[in-house]
Amino acid sequence: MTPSHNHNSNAQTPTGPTSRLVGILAEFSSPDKLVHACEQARHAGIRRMDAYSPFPVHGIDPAIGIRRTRLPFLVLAVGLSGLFLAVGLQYTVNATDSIGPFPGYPFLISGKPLFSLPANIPVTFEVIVLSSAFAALFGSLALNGLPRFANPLHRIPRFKKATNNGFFLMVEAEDPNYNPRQIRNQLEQWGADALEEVHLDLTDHKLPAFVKMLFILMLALCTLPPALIYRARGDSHSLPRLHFNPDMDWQYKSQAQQVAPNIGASEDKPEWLFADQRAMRGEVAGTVIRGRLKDDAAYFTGVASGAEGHAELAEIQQYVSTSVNQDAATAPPEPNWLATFPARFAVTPETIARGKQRFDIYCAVCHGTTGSGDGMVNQRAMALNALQRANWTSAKSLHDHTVVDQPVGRLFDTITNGRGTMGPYKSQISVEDRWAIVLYIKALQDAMTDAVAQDDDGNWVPVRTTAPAPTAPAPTDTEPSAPESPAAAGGDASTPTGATVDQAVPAVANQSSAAGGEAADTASENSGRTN
Amino acid sequence: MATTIDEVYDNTWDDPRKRSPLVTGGLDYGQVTSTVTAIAEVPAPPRAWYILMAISLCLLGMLGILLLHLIMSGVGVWGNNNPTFWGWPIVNFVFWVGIGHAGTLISAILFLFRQNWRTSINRAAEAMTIFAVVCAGLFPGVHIGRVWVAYWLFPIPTEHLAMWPNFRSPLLWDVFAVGTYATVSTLFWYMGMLPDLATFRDRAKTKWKRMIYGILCLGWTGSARAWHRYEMAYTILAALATPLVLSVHTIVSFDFAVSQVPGWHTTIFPPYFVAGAIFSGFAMVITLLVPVRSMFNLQHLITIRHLENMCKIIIATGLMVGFAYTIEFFIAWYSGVKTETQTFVMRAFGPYYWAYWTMFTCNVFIPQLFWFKAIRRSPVAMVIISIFVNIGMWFERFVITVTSLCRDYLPSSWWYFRPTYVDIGMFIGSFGLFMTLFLLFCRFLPVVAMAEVKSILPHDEEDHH
Amino acid sequence: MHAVKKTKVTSPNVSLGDTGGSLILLGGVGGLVLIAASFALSFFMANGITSFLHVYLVNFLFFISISLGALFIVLVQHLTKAGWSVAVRRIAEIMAGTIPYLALLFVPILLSVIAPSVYGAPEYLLYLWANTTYATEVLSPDKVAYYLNPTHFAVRAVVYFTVWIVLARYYLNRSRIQDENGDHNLTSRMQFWSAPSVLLFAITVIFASFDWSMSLAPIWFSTIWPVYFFAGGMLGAFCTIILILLMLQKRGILTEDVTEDHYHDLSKFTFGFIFFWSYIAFSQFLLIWYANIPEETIWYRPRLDGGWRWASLVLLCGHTLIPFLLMMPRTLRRNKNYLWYAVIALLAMHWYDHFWIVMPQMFVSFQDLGALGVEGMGTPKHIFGPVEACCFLGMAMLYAAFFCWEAGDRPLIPLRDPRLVDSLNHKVH
Repeated sequence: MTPSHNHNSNAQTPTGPTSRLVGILAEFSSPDKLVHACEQARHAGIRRMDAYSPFPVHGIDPAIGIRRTRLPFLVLAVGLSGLFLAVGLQYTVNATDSIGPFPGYPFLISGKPLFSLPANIPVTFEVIVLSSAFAALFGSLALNGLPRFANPLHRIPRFKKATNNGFFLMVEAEDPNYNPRQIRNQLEQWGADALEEVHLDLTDHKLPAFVKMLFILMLALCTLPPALIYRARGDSHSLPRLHFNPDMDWQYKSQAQQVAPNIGASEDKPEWLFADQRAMRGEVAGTVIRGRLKDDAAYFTGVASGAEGHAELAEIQQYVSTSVNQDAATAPPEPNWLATFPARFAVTPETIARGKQRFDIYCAVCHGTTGSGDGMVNQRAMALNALQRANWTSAKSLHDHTVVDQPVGRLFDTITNGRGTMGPYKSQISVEDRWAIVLYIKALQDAMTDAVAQDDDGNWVPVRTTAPAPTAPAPTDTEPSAPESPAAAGGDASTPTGATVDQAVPAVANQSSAAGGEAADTASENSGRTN
Repeated sequence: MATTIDEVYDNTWDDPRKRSPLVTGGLDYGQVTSTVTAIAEVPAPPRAWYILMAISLCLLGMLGILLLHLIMSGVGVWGNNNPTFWGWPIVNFVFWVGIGHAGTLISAILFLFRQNWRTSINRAAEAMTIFAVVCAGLFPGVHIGRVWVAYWLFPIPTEHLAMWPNFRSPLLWDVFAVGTYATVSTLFWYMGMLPDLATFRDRAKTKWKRMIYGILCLGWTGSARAWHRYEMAYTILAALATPLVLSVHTIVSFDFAVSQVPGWHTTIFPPYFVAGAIFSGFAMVITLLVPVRSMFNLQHLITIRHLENMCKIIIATGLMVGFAYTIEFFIAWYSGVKTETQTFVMRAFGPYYWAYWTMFTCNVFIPQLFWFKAIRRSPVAMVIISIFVNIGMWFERFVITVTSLCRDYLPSSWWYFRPTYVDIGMFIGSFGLFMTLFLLFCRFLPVVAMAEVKSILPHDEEDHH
Repeated sequence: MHAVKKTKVTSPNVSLGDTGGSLILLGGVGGLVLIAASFALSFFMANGITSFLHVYLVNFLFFISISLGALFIVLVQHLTKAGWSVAVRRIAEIMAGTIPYLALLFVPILLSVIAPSVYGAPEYLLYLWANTTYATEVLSPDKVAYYLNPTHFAVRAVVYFTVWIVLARYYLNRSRIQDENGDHNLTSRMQFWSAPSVLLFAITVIFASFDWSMSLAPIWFSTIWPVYFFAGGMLGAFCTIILILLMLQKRGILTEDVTEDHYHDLSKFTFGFIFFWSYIAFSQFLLIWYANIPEETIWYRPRLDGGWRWASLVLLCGHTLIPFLLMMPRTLRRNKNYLWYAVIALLAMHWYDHFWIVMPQMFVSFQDLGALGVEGMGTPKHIFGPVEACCFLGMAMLYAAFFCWEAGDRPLIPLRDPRLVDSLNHKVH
């Protein structure tokens, strides 16, 4: 610490390289005197000066000649950037597929549009306020040159009153009108109680050692997190991760196939929650689970229903239970399979498209996307068979005549309950989708049974195995669109597809009228609510 | 202008010809400084401070243990259960956020309205605001269940998660609103404290104190140029904080009101929540400042007139809240919507009637006592009434949250919500956190904004001219 | 700081003088003629008297909301013992003093409600609930029996007007008595009564807003509605005070005593209420939009679909976004030439707000009644035409005449208010 400067410090402090005169500090006893002095100083042509007070003194800005700060414009600019940042962020995050390298999150919630401005206003507002507030505080600090810890004024004991009850005016030595002798007289004349010169100590510019140490320590600590992250890169553990909150993983609940909980006092005398000791509960007698009412045997089983529908239902159940691993000779007689699509299923381009989509997900892995039995699983299985490392049954080609000849009900049943080594898919695929897949298989078969060949012009044209249809040529790809495939098969009444389509048309009409009725009901319900 | 002895000590007289002083005892600049700095400079705080600190630390410890229990076991330790998924934690959250409205209101809105009486109380109120927001943030923070992934609330890009927050959700608005509010309140508080920290620095007796306060005040000198930009920045912050303070409780009200739950979906919610927040915030300011002013001898700075003004704000906002209760009832009937009507009848006469009438009594009936001048000027009476108001405002949030959820659209899921000891303990424990922070603030930071109080002291204009 | 402190009013003119008399005559006669013309013209228009009554209600709500805003300003100045506003308070007091005359203008609206039940005319005039078919078929019997019926409506209106007239008269008269005797105790009395007055004011305005504008859509409801009505009215009142002061100063009245600093503060409040109105309007919209419940969205549907969609966008931009930006800069708020344009534009938007509230409801009502099988409910056609223009101009002229009548030749500034000195020396730092 250097000795403090006081009134007569001029003599003690050697001028020259060790210190530099900053200005002269005058103390006043009241804010009004300070303002008065500032006005006088400005009147006397002094421009480089500053006043110091424990609180903002009103009227001092014009007295010193302080111009209005441009801080508001800075805040406005930052606030506007906040606006664009917030709107842009919300738009890219919730309404686009990706944000640079990161995936977006276009997720429909509560039926609101992905980018819905009313819902984005609150966050936008908050971001504007937050960014503007930062701009206001840090902008004002930066304009004020803060933080500034080394200030020659802090070396003057008298100046400590500037934050208590003292009012100071400092005239800087760099002012062109600064005249050391004259200014003292003037300041005293304007009502200064005390005068003091302010010197900048040029020798004392080193940081204290402990500050340096602290800085180095902080720097070292800052490298720790990235170092730890680097070390953990690619790490793997054989132990399961730490469970802070076991409840989330192991809960007290009854799971499928478990014994009912013991609610008794002891292990020895168990008192089961349910008398039959099972945790799973059966269906309540005389009820049907919502959505499980199977009131249309044809639609749900693929067996033609009629007066003997229930009998046949029993028959097929028995058939299915015995069909696995049985050869054709001992197999029970086939039930009365549906030859046409059931009335509840609409044969439309949409259902074919749906069937293709489901087929590609569930069936194509074995049967191949064209249904030729060359799916990826099958290829792998056959490769393993060839190496004698496995003994797999080959997936059936759906264009095999045994399959082509099957009625649609039988195909439906195969998907539902499985055949041979093919497992059942009733739990994975909904009834509607199973019919859609059957429809798609029929379309595939229809497309594949019509072989194609190049004609004289080099175009690919269908070569009909059955009587040629007079209409447009069948599509050459394996994805026939719906209006074409029935047309192509239209001439051949013996194929089930053709018959199906003919019958399906009124069914579609029925269904749509039913849907219309439903919609009308809903509408009337709604209007009833508004009233 | 001659002042009588009465005017020096009692500033509640009401003569339109002359403004009563805001600071009594005829304090000058130096005396203001020494009165405030004395709190931090005395070697040991008063005995009451130690007693309160001990209680607060015990409660804080309890909060810590319960938090640990909660995180280790999961949110099942609370009473929340289907259909009351928002139980006490959300009630406590709204309660504390509401309390956290008074500080910024006093320093921002009253600043813009040039209500000079704010100067003596704004600092403590702002501190209270920040501590209340800390308590508020705690509850939704742990309510998310897995606190270790709380960062998912913020829009941080993650490649593996492929997920972003849903900006159309009012709960996310809440994250932004409360986060912004906490940040801006802290900036505002800190900025207001800069000159006073410089005063502390200049009066510090030890090297360490000088250094810490010196770093905290960033080398403030009180230069006129600095004051000019400081005042501009302060005005801007006040102008920003005013809509912000409205927005925070508005957005908290959106959490409820955008839904379709009967009793929650009411368009009056935004202004009604804000009025309720101010109501409870001022009640808490009175509850804290009356003991603080006598504990630290601040009677001349925080005068009866300050307290009386706050009582008037309490009665005004209390009436607003009362109007909102009544309009809700009226509109529930007027709308003719059965669920709505039933919900409100259920609130007042259903299983939670006791909560409803506690709320109504504490928030609407008891504050009417403030119509009497004598009660408005009695510190003891106003603390008692303020505590009732705080109880009432807690129950208001309880009534809104719990009664509506316990009586939703599906009568088969109706039940009677009961809190567990963890619910109750955490709520009480949050007071420990709040009080600990506040007591530390009182001891180590300037409790009264000295620079602002000095700027409204009458100065010697008459002598000069 | 060194300016000489003013101690008394220094303007050469502090009252309307002769100009008032001619304005009363011009405004009164012209206003009545124009309203009559609007009424007559409406018979040649598509929807006849219904259309006239709707636009009449728009104008009535516009002016009553401004006068109520002025009354509230007076009450709050006393409540907060405000000093800065004393120099401009008398203007607000006189504006509130026009409420008794506005009560007379309420009579046609009252008649539109009572007429159907008295003369048995079943058709729809203004309030849909006054139509017996609609009331019996759609509304709940309780609501009709206890709230939305002509008798209750009339009784409530009488109560509202009584309260407002008593309050407005009390504050205007006390303040004028003080002009003469300078008794500072009057100020204390006014302060004492200001708190209960605000209470009465709040209760009456809440229900008046339900009755007069929310019930246009009888099955719709919104608890924030009174706040919305109040916020718009306050904005209108501050703009009108500024406009009146600008007009007075142009005529050489109050030139010395009302300064830039008063304008600055008045426009700060204007700015504040632009924000507050937007906040309330947005809150109401967001909550209804988000929850998407049919019985609530019915109010916004006609305003957000079809042609009115653009009308709503005009309201959003003109009442919120543009004024918010244009009233923000401090220098503009202190510029009198600028304020002329700003307050006129804002008042136009406040009028438009009421237009936007009332007018679409007419279309909806026609549809609703048509759906109920009421005869003669074709699709209404509506544009802003001579009926609307005449009605607005007529009502505006009447309002000016009311103001001048109330002002008379008496001072337009509280000459001997104990806090006048504060106000005369008011400076915004």
